[in-house]
Parts: sequence; structure tokens; C-alpha cells
Amino acid sequence: MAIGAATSTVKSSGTAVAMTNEACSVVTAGSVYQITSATRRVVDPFQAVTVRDNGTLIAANLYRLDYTQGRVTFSGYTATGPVTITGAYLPLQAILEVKSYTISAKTNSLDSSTFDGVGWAQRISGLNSVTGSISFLSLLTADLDSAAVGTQSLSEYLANGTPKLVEIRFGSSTSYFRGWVLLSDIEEKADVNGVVEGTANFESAPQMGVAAVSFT
Amino acid sequence: MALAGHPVAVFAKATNATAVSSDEVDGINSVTYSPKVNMLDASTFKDTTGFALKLACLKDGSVSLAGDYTPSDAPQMLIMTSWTNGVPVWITMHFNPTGAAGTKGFQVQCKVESFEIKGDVASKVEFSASLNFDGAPVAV
Repeated sequence: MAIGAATSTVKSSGTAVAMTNEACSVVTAGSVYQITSATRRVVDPFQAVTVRDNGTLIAANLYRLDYTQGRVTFSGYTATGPVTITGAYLPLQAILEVKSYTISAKTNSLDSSTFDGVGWAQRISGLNSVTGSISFLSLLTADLDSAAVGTQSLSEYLANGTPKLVEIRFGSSTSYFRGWVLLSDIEEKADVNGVVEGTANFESAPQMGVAAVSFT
Repeated sequence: MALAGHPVAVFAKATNATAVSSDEVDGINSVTYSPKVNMLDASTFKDTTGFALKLACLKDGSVSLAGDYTPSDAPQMLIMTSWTNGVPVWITMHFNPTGAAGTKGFQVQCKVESFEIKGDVASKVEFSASLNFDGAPVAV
């Protein structure tokens, strides 16, 4: 069923807020747990994170944390619960007056053809990357979070070069994209017959060392 | 005889088993199946025909799909997760769905090279994907 785009939302991560022993809910008993509070599920990868099971600190090599979803998956360890996470979460703030978006996921399609006598090309998938763009009617200097120290604007994001999490929710569906991205370029343009429009292009930031993107 | 486009069916499956109705990709309204061959020029000075001599070498191809983004549709989501995981996906295209076996269309193992989701405030959320052949297609 087709989805209208008009109710889509586009957000970026804001200023980190500390959380201590944040409660998690069971996704798969014993192995997968997720932060219960939906507004605290984007975990700040620049802050130290610890995971506890029933109060016991769990070694980092026994789990993988999906920072975009606040989801911990244990490996080689069976949790009894309750599971808690200590660190910091990133609240999501709306990017103002967005009117369109594009997300493009690509992989290096590597040719692995050999003298196998088949005569058809064969392939393996190489490095993945995601690029995207948004266009909007707000100014590049618009403060996305007036409560935070300093101006949290797209032009500041470009200037400081720090990866930000971008979330795009597709229309009225429950499906969304979240990814750690770097702004590659921004633009503001005006025409005498039109409105002032801005665009921002971004690229996934796998240097985060965490799951860079997720499509849910 | 010309075939109408609207009965065309496109299926995505994680194995090469015969596609069934639950494998049909929802939301798609455009499909392009493009096999090709790497055509090498083998012309020589000694050949006096005056025509270029061509040699058909490695065969290859691509499939492109486009339509409405449909996150509730498992086959469309399979295309996205196949990109994420770098695993093959088998695409079956029935350009002639009422035809006899072997004339309906093609099935081919693919690797997802890219997909795109885009939305405009006055439009629908749209989806497109580009896939490369990962072996020989078969007529179905």
C-alpha cells in the first residue's frame, strides 16, 4: 500500500543526556534487550557505556550494542535480567521545515567472475555506504535546540564535523531510517520568484565503529 | 502480440525455489530486466571485409525496480536486508504471467547494488533498487 510522504518526520540527534541504569525490556529472553524508554534509545557512542545484568557488570566482549536502537545483543552469555544500560542518550530534535528527502544505500558490487566455464559474471558485495539529502525552508543557521548550549544548526554541524544521528520516518508507517552521518555539503539558495530553500547532503559515518545505519 | 504491463509480477526470494504469491514484491510499478554481453572488438588488419569483427565474452546483467515504498511487504524488505547483509536474492519476473512454463519470464540470482527511498511533501514515499546479476538467469 502506498504511503503519502506528507506526514514524514526528519530529526537529528541533540545534546547528550546522562542516563544511569536505564531499564531495558526483553526482546528475546536471555539474549536481546532494548532500552524501554523510546525517547532514550539513541545511545551516544562518544560516552562510555556499561551494561549490567541483574546488577552485575557485563564485559564488553560479551555483547554488541546497537547505538541507533538502544539494543544490546549478548553473545556467549545468557542474561537473566533485569538488564540496564549506563551511559548517555541523544534526544532527537526536528530539523525544521523539511520538504523532501532521499536516502540512497549502495554497495561496491565487486566482480568475482573466474574461469568457471559458466560464462556469466558473478559478484560479491563489498563496502556499504549510505548517502542522503534533505531540502527545507528553514535557514541553515536555524537553532534546532534552543535549550542546548550554543547554536545547534546545520551550518554548525558542517563546521564541527562531528557525526550526527539522522532519523527519517517514512510517512504514517512505523518504518524509519536511522544512521550516523556526516554532512558533506549544505546550500541555501533564493530566487526572486521563489522561497529561500536549503539543502543538506550527508554520508554515512562508519568511522563511528558502531552500526552506522539501520532500516527498521 | 503486445503484452499489457499491469499483469506483470515481480518476486523476491532468499532461495532459488519457485516463487509463490507470498514472494511477490508489493508496491512495484516499474521493472527493467537487462541482460547484456561484454562485446569485444576483434577486428584485425588481415580481415579485409571492412566490417568490425565482434566477440561475445562474459555475460552479465542487471535488474532495476521502482515503485511505492512498502515497509509492510516482506519481499520488498528482503531486497533491503539483502543489501545490508551482502547476500544474494533471487528475483523472478513474470512479464507474461499467463504463459506456459518457460515463457513467463526469468529468474536470476542477484546482488543488490543500491536502493533508494525518497519522499516529497506533495508525493508518495517512493522506493527504487538496482540489482546486478550474480550468475545466469533461467527462463521460468
